[in-house]
Amino acid sequence: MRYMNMAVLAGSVLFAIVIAGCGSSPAINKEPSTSAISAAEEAGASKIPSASLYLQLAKEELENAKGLATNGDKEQAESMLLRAQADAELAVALSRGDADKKEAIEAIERVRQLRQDNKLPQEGK
Amino acid sequence: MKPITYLIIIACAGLLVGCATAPPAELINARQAYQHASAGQAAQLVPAELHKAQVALDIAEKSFQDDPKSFHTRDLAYVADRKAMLAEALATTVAGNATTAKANKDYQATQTEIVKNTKEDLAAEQKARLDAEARRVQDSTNAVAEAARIKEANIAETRNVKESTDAEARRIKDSTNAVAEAQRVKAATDAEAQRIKDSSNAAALRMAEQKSNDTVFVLVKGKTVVLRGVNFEFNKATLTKDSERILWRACKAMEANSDVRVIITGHTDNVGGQKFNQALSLKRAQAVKNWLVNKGISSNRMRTVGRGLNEPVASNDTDAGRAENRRIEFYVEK
Repeated sequence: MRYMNMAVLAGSVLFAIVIAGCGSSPAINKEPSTSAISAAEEAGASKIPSASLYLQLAKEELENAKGLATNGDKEQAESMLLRAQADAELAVALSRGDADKKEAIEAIERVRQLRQDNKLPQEGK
Repeated sequence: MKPITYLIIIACAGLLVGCATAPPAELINARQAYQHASAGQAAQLVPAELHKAQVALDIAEKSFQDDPKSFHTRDLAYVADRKAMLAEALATTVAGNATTAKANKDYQATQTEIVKNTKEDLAAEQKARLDAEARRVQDSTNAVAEAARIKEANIAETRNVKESTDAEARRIKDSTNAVAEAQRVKAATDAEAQRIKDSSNAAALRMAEQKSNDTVFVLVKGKTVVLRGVNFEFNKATLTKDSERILWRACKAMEANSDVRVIITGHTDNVGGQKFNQALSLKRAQAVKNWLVNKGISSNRMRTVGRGLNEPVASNDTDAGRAENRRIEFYVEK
């Protein structure tokens, strides 16, 4: 009787482990993708037309990867995460490029305005 | 076999070959993106990023060769496409940063230029202000000096006027005192002068009469006698005193020969114009006639003629010659 109880307990534990293993998705490394997406959002990609598209794609691809992982397709999920990361990094670059472009335009305008206010000839004229 | 069968076989073979080599859209996009990026400014500005894109594209190409239809190939090509776009975006950022840096540098240079210009303007303005102030001070100094000079001149003028007034007052006073004395002296002087004059005239008359008796002109009809020594004041028809001695001789001759008539002719030298000398010679002849008339010679016995400078008897180039040409002649009419 005693051995039978021990066998039942071990079987139950093993069953629980199997059940738990079958219920969760395979472990995938989403951190690079999510970090890149966060960086894009912090760079204001959602408000910049040229960058918002890629941020959106990155988010969708992250969700796809999660879905693939949930379905047990870990390899394809990780491959999808590469897409998400690439799109997110592109969104970051485009956001910063847009800001830098605006800053350059503003700097040129400051010079032009300064020279105009002081009645100096403009550069290149 | 029928021709249609060959065509079907060839089409199927071509389809198979095409399906086997056709790259996925992601890979086509990746290739184009990389070519575009490498042709742009990314190669120069962000070569490392472009290299990463190239590596990603190589991996995708290899995957395509190994397993053309796998999701790995599509995903790797997708990533390569994004890497190429990322290189371009970063190149744009670098270029923008360079533009910003240059603009900021230009801004600083412009500010420096403005400061320099402002300093120069301020210096010029200050110099102009100082110059104006110096001119104002100089003008003021000049005005003060001029005022002092005018004041000094006025003082001197006032002093002179006062001295003149005092002198004039003294002179008037002295004159008033002297008038009486002067009148007295003048009366005495006039009396003495009149006495001397009367005495002189008498003496002269006596002397002339005495001398005139010495010689007498010989008046022969048809002949001309020159009255040498008869002279006149310069440019006038006024006889000199010395001339009377000669005229007395002529007078005596006229008295001694009461039946003769004479033509008194005046001559001059060539000093002065023709017209002037003509008139002057006639006036002098008339002066001689008047003198003789005054001495009692009848006016009917004398006519006067002026010859001016027309009949010189000597050269007019010398003083002696001109003196000889200035003469009075008596022509005794027949």
